[in-house]
Parts: sequence; structure tokens; C-alpha cells
Amino acid sequence: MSAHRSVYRKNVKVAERKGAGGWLAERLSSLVLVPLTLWALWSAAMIAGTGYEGALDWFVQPLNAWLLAATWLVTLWHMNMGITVIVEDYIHKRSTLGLLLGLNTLLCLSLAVIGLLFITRLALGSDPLPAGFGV
Amino acid sequence: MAELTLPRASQPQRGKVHKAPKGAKNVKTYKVYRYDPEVDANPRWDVFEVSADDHGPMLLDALIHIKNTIDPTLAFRRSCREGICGSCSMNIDGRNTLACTKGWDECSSSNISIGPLPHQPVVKDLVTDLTLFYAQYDSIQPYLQSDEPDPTTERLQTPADREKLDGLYECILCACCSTSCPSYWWNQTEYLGPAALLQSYRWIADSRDDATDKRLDDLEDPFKLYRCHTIMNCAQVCPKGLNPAKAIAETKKLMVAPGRKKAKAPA
Repeated sequence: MSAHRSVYRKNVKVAERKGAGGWLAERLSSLVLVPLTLWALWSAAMIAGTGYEGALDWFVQPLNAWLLAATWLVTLWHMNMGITVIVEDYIHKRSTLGLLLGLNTLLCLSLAVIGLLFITRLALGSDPLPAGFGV
Repeated sequence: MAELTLPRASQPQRGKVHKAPKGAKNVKTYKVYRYDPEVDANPRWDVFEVSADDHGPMLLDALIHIKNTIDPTLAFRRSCREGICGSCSMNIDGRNTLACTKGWDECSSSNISIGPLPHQPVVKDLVTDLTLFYAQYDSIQPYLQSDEPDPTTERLQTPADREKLDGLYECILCACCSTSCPSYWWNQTEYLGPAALLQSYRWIADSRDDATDKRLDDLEDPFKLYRCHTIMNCAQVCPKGLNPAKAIAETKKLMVAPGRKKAKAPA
């Protein structure tokens, strides 16, 4: 069910004349994610066991920080598109549909901001946050 | 929310059991969906025990035999009995297919369920209301649209161009594919379904048709076309062995092809 009211002609939906861009974005983002995810997993395996200092050494290299930020953002973008399709497929009550689509976007944006914040902190060589985030 | 369970009034109950006569050989058991909205509160499964020796080799033969000799009130569509009219499409043994081309000996056991096409309103027993399905077919404008003046002879095409229609023109609109598609089950009022989309691509792929860009414009929609999630049930069940999912994939590729002239505003 579309998030907005569809127009019908003889009981068949009139095309919104959009959707090809979204389809292409799903495919391109998943293609980009193949090398990025493999690289991120390989990097995680390399960092594992090296402690905070070891991780910091990895993060302060600009290429690593930029690539990780790209991986994180493309992952969230792809996830946002995927969850949107699932919600549209199964949720037909208009109010619930709108709420869930809004929550999906809010969740992905929040995760993007939080992730970028921590990547930036580490890339700048910051000290670990104190327990309880110093609150 | 998608309906994952049937509404109370749609849940089938136990129906009548028609036992085979004593001494009957080669007995098959058919569990047949029965529902008459004018009389019945709920659908029911009637059981018919029939000797396969008494009728021909196909499921349609069994149904005709049941109607002729056991229960004349059983309703189902049939016409050509050779897989070309698409009338006797139904859900047999858990899969949508044509009763006239499915042999009873092809079924997984001797206990065979026969129901109407899934997720369609039932008119009576195995007869479903396909009004929306036909409206969707009508909407894709299933006829040649050419900018050329009407020729005095046939519109010719090369053998290579003609070959592009193989696997498309054979569709008999039986609705087996569309009604087997979960995406169509959940969103049939907005998603066109595999049959209409395959038929649409049949004209998009036709070298004699000049309306390709308009046809693509009329399909470009997050639901009409892009609800196909490549589940592939359509290709699994098509009694003509066609692959609607491939036709849909080709349409999606053409949507983003470099040469496409896209109209600016919605019609």
C-alpha cells in the first residue's frame, strides 16, 4: 500500500511515474556494499585483540575512517530502502504505515548520526569515553 | 496488516464424504473446496472417493466424472480441455495449474486437494471472480500501437525480432501465476501481477510496436511494477512453462536503459 492515496482508473492504479530510481539505488547500493562489507569484516578481524590503542591506530588513518563512514552510510541507506519495501508490502492500515515508515527513517538517521560521531571521535584520536559516557 | 490467517467466515469446515462403492479399484481421494456464498456460511472441504478406472487421465476428467455421477452441484470452469483456453485453472495438490493438463497420477499422493485460485473472491466452489485480473490486463493496452500508416499487407518483422516474442505470446491468461504470487496476494489492488506484466512486455518487446516509451511510463510505479520481488512462484506454476519474472526483469532493465524517453508529468 502506498503511503499516499493512489489514483485509480477503471480499478487499476495510475502510474506515479517513479520507482526506477529507487530500484537502481537498491541495486547500486548492494553492489557497492559487497567490497565495502568484505573490507570492513577483514579490518575488524585485523583490529581484534589489538586493544583500544590498536583500534585507534587503524582509525586515525584517513582512508580507513572515510571508508568506514561510507560503509556505514550506504548500509543504513540500503537498510532504509529495504525496510520501507517490507513495511509497504505488509502494512495496509494507513496510519500504522505512516508511523512505521517515519520510525524507520528516524532509526536510520539516528544510527547514521551516532555512527559518524564515533567514527569522527576515533579518527581524531580521542580518548575512550568514560564509563556511562561521563553523564 | 497482511492477512496471514483466513477471516473466520472464510475458514473451510469439514464437508460431506462421498465413499467409493465397495470393491472399487484404483481409488483416489479428492478433497474439493465447496462454497456457495448464497447458501453457505463457511466454505467446506467435500471428500470424493473415485475409482480412477472410471474416468480419463486428467484431473479435469475426474472433476467432470464427479459432477456427472456424484454431485451435479459442483461448479468449475472448463472449456477446451487441452491447455489453451485457461478456464480450468485452479489450485491442485497445493499448486496452481490447469486441471485439464494435470494428470491425477502426477499428484504427490492418492489424496488430492482441489481448491480455487488463492486470494481471489470465490463465486462458487472452484470458480473465482477474476474481474480485477482482467481489468489489469486491459490496462496494459494489449494491442499493437504503431505510428506507421496501416499497411495493405502484413507488418513484417525479421525472424530475430519474431523470436523475441517466444516465451511471451503463449500466455493464455489463466491467472495461475498472478494468484500464486505472494506480492499479488498482499497488494493486488496496486500491483499488476505477473500475468499483466508479462503481457505488457510482450508488446514492449514487439519490433512493430511504437508505444514502448508510453508503455514504460504507464508501468513506472513503486507498486504496479516494482512489487515484483523475484519470488519466482509465477515461473514455477505457469502451465505453459513461461517465465513472467524474466519478462518483469527485462521491463525493469528497460526502465533505466539509457535511450528511454521519459514523460515529464503523470498522465
